[in-house]
Amino acid sequence: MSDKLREQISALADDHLPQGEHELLLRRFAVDKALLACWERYHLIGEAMRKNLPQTDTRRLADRVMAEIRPETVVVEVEKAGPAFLLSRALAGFVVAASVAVIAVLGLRHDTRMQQTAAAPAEIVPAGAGLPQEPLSYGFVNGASWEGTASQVQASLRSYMVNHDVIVGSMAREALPAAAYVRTTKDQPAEPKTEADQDSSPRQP
Amino acid sequence: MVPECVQAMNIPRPVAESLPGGADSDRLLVERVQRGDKAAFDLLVRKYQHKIVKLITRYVHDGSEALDVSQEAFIKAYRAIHGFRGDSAFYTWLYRIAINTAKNHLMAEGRRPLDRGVDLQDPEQYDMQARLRDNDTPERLLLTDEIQRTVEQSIEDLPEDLRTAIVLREIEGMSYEQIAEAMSCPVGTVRSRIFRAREAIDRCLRPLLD
Repeated sequence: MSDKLREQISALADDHLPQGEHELLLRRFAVDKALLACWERYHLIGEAMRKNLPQTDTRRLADRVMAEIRPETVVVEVEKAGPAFLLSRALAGFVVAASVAVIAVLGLRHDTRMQQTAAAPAEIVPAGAGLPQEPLSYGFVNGASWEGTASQVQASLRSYMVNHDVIVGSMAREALPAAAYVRTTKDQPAEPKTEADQDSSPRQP
Repeated sequence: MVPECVQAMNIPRPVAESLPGGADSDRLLVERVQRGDKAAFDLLVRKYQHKIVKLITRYVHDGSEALDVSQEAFIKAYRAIHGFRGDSAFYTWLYRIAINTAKNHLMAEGRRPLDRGVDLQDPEQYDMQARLRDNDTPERLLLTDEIQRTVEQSIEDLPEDLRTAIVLREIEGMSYEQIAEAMSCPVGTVRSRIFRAREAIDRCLRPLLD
């Protein structure tokens, strides 16, 4: 502990420490017990000079107090936040809710425009431009799923079912139930049935 | 206690803001505690523990019991500090908590708190009462008296410029600026003299406290 630090403590005890020196000194107090002891003794000297000392040994009082309040820190910090903390939380919740609402409204408007676009595609979009060549499909089996055009999904399902049969054949066939379905979008005409489509119908193990 | 060199000086009366333990550092520490810095509360406890224990001893005469009640008062203050808005000085607020804690303690013990006509706003009155009523152990009394004697002797042994500076500060309650004016020296010199005086006293005191 340097003379400079102790002189700063002396000035702080007298309330004459320049503003710029507070922060660093207070941080040092938190990590250096010797500084705390120095601060305590300077105040003890003052009380002794004013003949104001209690007839009781107070040396361990601060340690006892701090030992009691140390576990309360977290609770106190939450309490400390008080109305401001609650207000900020409410505000944050409101901002999130408002953002979701705005996105929902924008999405709804966008969806409406898309429906209008689909109703009269020739007027807005040139034929074939930006639209998928094949209808979109979705398939799943035992938790696995695929998205893409109907033919891509069918190919994935076929591959899966072949592998599934191989695995199940080598194990117990009853062990792994399997299911599959293919859905096409309503707006688009369903793909013509092929042999592959026939193969992709749900199979029972 | 006031040295002759100090008595002979034309000393300006101290202003309230420059009393020892001024409000600014307290406010700073309180704000830090309110932001969750418990080390700042440690500083406040170490600063005011002597005053609070002495105050509580007016009500609770047993030394160890007074320490327990003081501890309870500081803990109550810590729990309530987030509600402290600075309308009064921190010590005034702490003082009220300490008195209420002491009174509640006596009520809980089935004892009636007696102020015995002591004006608790007048420190000189309860200093005297305390001397009459404190019934601490001889060891504790011995330590307190020893500290008191050591401090007084150390001040006697100080060079005159240091002694004058520390007395004007601690007993007269003058600000650094007022001391600088009274001693015809820069404020920085006052700060240095007060520090050196404290260091000299502290060197004599430390063996007693370790």
